[in-house]
Amino acid sequence: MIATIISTQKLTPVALNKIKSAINKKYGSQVKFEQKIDQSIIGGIKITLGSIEIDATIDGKLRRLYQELLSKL
Amino acid sequence: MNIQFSQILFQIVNFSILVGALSYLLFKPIQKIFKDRTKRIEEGQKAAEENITAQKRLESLQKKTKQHSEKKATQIVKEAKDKAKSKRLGILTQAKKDGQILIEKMKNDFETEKNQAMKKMETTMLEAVIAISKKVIGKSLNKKAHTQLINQEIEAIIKTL
Amino acid sequence: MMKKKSLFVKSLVDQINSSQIALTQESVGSVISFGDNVIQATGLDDVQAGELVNLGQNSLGLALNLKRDTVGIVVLNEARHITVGSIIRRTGRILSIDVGDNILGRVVNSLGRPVDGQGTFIAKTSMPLEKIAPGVMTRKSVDQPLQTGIKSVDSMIPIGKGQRELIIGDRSTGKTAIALGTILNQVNENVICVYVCIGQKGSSLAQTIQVFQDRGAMAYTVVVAATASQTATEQFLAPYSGQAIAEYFLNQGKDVLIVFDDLSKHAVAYREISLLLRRPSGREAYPGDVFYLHSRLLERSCRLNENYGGGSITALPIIETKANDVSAYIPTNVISITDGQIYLETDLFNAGMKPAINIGLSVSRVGSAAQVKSMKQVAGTMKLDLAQFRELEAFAQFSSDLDERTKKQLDRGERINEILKQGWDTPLKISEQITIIFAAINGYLDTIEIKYIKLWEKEYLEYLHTQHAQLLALITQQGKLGEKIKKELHEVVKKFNQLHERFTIKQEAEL
Repeated sequence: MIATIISTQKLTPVALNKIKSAINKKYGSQVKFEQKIDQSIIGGIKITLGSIEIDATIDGKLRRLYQELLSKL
Repeated sequence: MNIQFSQILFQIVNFSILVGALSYLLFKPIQKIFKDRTKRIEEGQKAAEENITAQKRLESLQKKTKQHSEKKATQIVKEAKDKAKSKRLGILTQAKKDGQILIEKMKNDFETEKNQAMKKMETTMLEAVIAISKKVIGKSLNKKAHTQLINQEIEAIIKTL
Repeated sequence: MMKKKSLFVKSLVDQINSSQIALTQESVGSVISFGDNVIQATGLDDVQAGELVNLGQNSLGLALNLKRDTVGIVVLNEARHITVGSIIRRTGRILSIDVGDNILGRVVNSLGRPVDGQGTFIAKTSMPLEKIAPGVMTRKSVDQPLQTGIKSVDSMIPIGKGQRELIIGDRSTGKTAIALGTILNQVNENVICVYVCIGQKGSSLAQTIQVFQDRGAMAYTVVVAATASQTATEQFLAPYSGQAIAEYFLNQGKDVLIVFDDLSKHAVAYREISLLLRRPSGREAYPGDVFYLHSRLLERSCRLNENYGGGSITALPIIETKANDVSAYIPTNVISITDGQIYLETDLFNAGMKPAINIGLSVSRVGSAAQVKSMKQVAGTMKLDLAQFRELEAFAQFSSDLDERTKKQLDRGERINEILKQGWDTPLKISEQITIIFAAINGYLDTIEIKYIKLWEKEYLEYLHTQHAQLLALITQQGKLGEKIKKELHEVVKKFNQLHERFTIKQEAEL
């Protein structure tokens, strides 16, 4: 399985290890890690694990806020 | 001249026999013929009179029927006029009702269009707000803020894993 | 306006403050291949069959093929932005459409979105497109008539509420005309109509909608439009959307009439999707489940008993045959599903018989159980008489000298045939139909020349409406022809024939 970590700037080694160990704990040690830098997420971090995507980016949060406010209009 | 009484008597008897014979052989049948003729004339007259009365009766009947059909015709025309009037009234009320329905519909359409325009404006405003926030947040985060944010999110992610 | 704006801003601010936006975990997939409106994607681990998939930019797809490594997704509306590697997400919703009471009078597409340019309607609930048909214990037998306004149908092939009656024939034989005539006849009958248009020309649909609007039929009709220019998926889903809308009204206890125009194109659209999804093909290249495609749709048209609202859905599916071949694959399938068929022939149409219904081959399995008693009384033997007449007609072409009785039978049959001709947009009320058929059956037309029969009918109806309107009202009200009404009818026809001498056959002077 490939885990892709997308962020606006390179992760500090401490943060990287933290996330690596957490993922390895859940999904075993066969996980390969990739890092990507993408400015369009504005801020925060996004992790894609196989077919699951964990979205903790500012862009994603704003998108979800927009959807929620639109439905309440 | 010597008029002998016997000859006069003989002539009188002769004459009376003749009259008697004639009256029996001729007079009666001729009378009968005359009687028949008068009877026939009478009957003819009576028939003619009856004809005239029948004709008069027919004429009066004709007149009566004519009056009756004229009456019926005027009645039919009157009924037709009444029906036409009521139909016209019906059409007018229907047209009025239709007109009102149309006005209601137009009012409703206007309302819905107004609401739609409002909604569109609200949506555009929302989009503008989100776009502005994106730009503003992007510009306002410096390197330190980014690292802090990333660490914060990693904590949150680890909690959910 | 300004007050509304500031109120809106305030509420917006409040909502932003109160909303909890945390991180989310979504099941996503990535596109491997995309072509011909079919996407093959990896990922999407938990997607369900028939689930809506978000393709981004407001377009949706339908997950149809679930395999171990890939998911086959059919695109529902346009999706030009998809490239290989695009991320697509689950929505968690099984395919359904939003319905509300003010969908009446609107034209919607297969996804329930209005396409008539009159804005959105307020949706009350969301009805699923795929549903299991009501079970045996919830149903009731069909015993109420659905009046089509067409003399041939209402007298000899009567349709009941809750029945499925197939309209089958070649192209241009008047199939759509029968369905439209039936919809136009429901104007005061408290029946909701749904017209599902599958694969038709946009111009024909526009004409149809114009007719509905002119005759005031749009007030109780919903049109589901999947014209020929729309994707095969939309054409495939259109009948199910129409059925979902009909079920919304069925649940309110109402009577609904749904017309599928036509199911042949529906099967073709499904074949297209199945072939693109690489499913194995069978007879005539149709996939193996094309029978189930139609049976699960038509089984949902039923009549419910009082415990479940007492409503009904009557279905009039239309099938187009090629060269009168009713033994082709799709026609035989649908004939075995429906409760009868109305069979239209090109020969009859070209011979001037409109509607071109072949009475001999048409059947209604519900039959006279769904007929008003008065109609049953007058039209009871008409079907048999017409069949005998047709046999005699073929025989009479070869014999030159016919005896009196045969001639009389031929004349009677010809006149009954003539009386059954009707314009497609002039539906007749049941009382009018009964009086006309009464006159034909009792021989009052035998003295009328054939070429005047149409005129006779028109003037006879006018005469009834102006002079004997209470008689018509009495027939409608009583539902059965008592002795008094029959006597009065005899008198009325006799008087009418006397008044209109110019229609009778002029006797040739004996030399």
